Amino acid sequence: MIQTENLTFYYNESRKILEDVNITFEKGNLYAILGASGCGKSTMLSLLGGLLLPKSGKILYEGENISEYGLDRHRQDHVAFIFQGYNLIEYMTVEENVELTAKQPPQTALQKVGLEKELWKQNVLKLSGGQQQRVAIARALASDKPVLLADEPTGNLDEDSAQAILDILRKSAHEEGRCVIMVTHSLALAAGADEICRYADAKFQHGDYGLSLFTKPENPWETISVIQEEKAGEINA
Amino acid sequence: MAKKRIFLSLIRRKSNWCMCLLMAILATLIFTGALIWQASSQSIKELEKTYGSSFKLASYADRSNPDLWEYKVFDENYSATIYIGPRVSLEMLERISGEIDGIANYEWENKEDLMNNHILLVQMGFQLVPGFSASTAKIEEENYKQWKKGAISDQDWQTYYERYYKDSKYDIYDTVAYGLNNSQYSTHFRNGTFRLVSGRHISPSDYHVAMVTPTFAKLNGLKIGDTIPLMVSPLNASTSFASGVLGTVDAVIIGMFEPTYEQPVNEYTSERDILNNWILIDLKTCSEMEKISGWSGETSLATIYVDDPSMTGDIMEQVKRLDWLDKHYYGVEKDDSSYHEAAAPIRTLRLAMGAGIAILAASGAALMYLILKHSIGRRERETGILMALGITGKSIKRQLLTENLILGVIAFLFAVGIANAAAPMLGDSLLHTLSPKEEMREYTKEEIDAAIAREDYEAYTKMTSPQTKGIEAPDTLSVHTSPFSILVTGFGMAILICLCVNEAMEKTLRLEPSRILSMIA
Ligand SMILES: Nc1ncnc2c1ncn2[C@@H]1O[C@H](COP(=O)(O)OP(=O)(O)OP(=O)(O)O)[C@@H](O)[C@H]1O
Ligand SMILES: [Mg+2]
Repeated sequence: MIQTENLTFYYNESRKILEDVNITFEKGNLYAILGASGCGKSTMLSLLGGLLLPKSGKILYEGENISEYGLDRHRQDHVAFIFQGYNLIEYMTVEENVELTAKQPPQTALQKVGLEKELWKQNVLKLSGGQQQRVAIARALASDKPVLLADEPTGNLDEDSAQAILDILRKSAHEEGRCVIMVTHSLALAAGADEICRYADAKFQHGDYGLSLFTKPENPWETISVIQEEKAGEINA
Repeated sequence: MAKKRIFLSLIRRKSNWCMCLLMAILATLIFTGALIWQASSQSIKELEKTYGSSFKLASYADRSNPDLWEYKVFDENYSATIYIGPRVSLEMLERISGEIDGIANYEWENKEDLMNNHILLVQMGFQLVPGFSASTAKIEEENYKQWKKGAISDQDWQTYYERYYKDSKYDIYDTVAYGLNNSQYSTHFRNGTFRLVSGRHISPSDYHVAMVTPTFAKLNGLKIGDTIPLMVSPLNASTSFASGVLGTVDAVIIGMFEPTYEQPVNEYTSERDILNNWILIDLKTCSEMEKISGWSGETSLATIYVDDPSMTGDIMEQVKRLDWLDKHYYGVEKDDSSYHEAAAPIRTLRLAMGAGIAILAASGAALMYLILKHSIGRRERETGILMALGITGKSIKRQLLTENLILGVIAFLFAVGIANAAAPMLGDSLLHTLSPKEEMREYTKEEIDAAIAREDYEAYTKMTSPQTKGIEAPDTLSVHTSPFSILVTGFGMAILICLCVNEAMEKTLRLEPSRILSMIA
C-alpha cells in the first residue's frame, strides 16, 4: 500500500539518516518500527506522511509517487499522524482537537481511547501527558485515513493503557483495513505488531542492542515476522 | 471546520486582542489624521471659494500723468490734489457681468480698507452708538490749546465751540453707508463678520433700500419697512465730520444685519468705525449719493466675484479682452494674498496631517508587518500541526487572513468611533496652536493717550478701529467622516493586512511542516 524505493534522506549530507531504503507496508497490518533513539524513526514517518521530501528515491502510495500526487493531498487523503509530542492545538478543548480532522463524531474516537468524558470539554493543556497522548490518538482515529503513522503512541502510558492502545491500533488495522505503522521503544508492544521493522544506521552500529538483525549498513531496514523473547530481553537490559 | 478554527482562535487567543488593540490604535491615529486632513482640505476649498474666487478691476491712478489729477479746494480748511481720471463705474460693472458668463457678484468694496469707497453721510436726526472721532478730538484739543494760548480769537473759538464742541463729542453723528450690489455675497457676510437677522438681503435689482443693525434700529425706533433719510455731507478728508448737507436720499429698510462678534469699542472709536452704526445700501443708491457728494460716483477699485474659483483666471482674461475697456486706464488683478494668508495655518495643518499620515502609514505598515509576522511566527507550530493533519497551507493561510481581517475590521470600527470623537477637538486645537489669533481687545484711555502723545498714529488707528478686517480663516474645522475616507482607510488597512499575512505566511509555508514541528518540539 505504501512503499519506499531507494529512499535516501539526510538533514546534513555528512550524516545520512536513510540510505537506499526499500520497504513496503501493506494495509490491514500493524507494523512496529524499532531503533535507537535519534536513528531516524520519526524522520521515516515524516517522509511516509509527506511532511518531508526525500533527497532521492521515492515513496509510493498504491503505486503512485506521493510527490506527484501532492504532499498536501497525500496528507489530506491518506495519512493520519500520532505524534511523539502529541502536537495538540493549545487553545482548543479535547473535543475541538479531535474535531479538527474528524470524519466521524469525535466522541466515538474519544470513547475508544478511553478518555474520561468529563475531560472532553477541557482545554488540552490541562490534561496529563498520557491523557494528551490519547487525545492525539483519538484525533488520528477520527480522521479515518487509510494509513496511520504513530510515533511512540504509548510513550506516556502505563502498561495497561499501552496495551489498550495497542489493541485499538491493531483493531484499526485488522478490522478497518488500515495500514498502521507504529514507532516504539517497547519490545513488549512491538511483540503485538504483525511485523517489526528494525532500523540500524551504519554509523551507529555499536551493537548495544545485541540483535543480529542490526547489520547490513547498505540496507538498514529489514522486515521480520517474529521477534524472539530473549532478544527482547537483551534490548531492555 | 475552518470557520470553527477561526472562531476558536479569535475567542481563545488573547494575543489576538492585543494585536487588535494595536491595530485599533494605529488605525485611530491614521484615521484621525485623515479626517483632519480632509477637513482642512475642505476648509481650504471653501476659503478659496469665498475669497479666492475674486479679482479686482482697478483704474490705474497714474501719478506721472498730470491730466488725471486736479488741485481741488474743498473748503477754507482743506484742499488736495485729487484723481479725476477714469474710474470704475457701476455701469461698467453691470456691463461686464452682462457680457461675461460666470460672474456671481461685484462690489465696490475694498477688502484691505473698509473705509475706502464709502460715502460719509451726516445723520443729524439719528442716534448712533457713541464713539469718538479721533481727528475731531485732536482738532478740538489743538484749538483749545491755541485759544488758551491766545492764538485763536475768542470769537473764533466761540464759533467753533458752538458748532462742534458744546454738546460733547457724542454729537458728531456721522457714520458710513456701505454700498453693496448683492449683500449676501459680499465679503462681510461671506467671512461671517455680519449676519442677516431679519428681513432680506440687498440684491442687484434693488434701489433706495437699506439694511441697518437692530442696535441702530432700536436707538432710533426703526423697523423693517421704515424709510430713513440718508443725508449726504461733502467729503471732508481732513476732518471727516459733517459740514453741511448736500442732499438727501431716502431708503427703505429691507433687512437687519448684525456683527457676529463683540466689537471692542472704546471712547476713541469713531462712530463710523462702530459696526453697529453701519448702514448698508444698494449700489445704485450708493452711486447716486456719491454723485451728490461731488465725487464722480465711481470707484478706483471694484471686486468681481466668479461662480467657480477655477474659472477666475479665465474670466479675468475675458475681461482683459473686452474692447471697450481701455487698457490704458484699467487693469485686472487677482489678489489672493489675504486669502493665502488666511489659509496659511490650515495649509500648514493639512501639510502636517499629510506628513503625519504618511509617516504613520509607513511606520504603521512596518509595525503591523512586524507584529503580524511575529504573531504568525508564534503560530508556526500550530501551522505545522494543521498541515501535518492534512489541512492545506492554503486553507491555513485563508484562516489567518480571515482572522486578522476580522480583527482589522473590529479595530477599524473602533478607530472610526474614536477618531470621529477625537478629530474635531484635535483638529481645532491644532488649528488654534497654528494660528494664534490676535485677540480683540479694548484699549484703555491711557494706552491710546500714550499713542497719541508719542504721535504713533498707526498704533492709534489700530487701537480705535474695528479689529476684524479682511479675511478670517475659520477657527474650527468641520470634521465629518465621509464614506470615502472610511473606504480609503478601510481598504488601505485590509490590503495591508493581506500583504502582511501573505508575506509572513509565505515563509512558514515554505518550511516543511516536520521542520516546524521539530523546531518547536
Ligand atoms: N529538522 C531537523 N534538522 C536537522 N536534524 C534533524 C532534524 N530532525 C531530526 N534531526 C536529526 O535526525 C536524526 C533522526 O531524528 P529522528 O527524530 O528521526 O530520530 P528518532 O529515531 O525518531 O529518535 P527518537 O527515538 O528519539 O524519537 C537525529 O539525530 C536528529 O538529531
Ligand atoms: Mg522520534
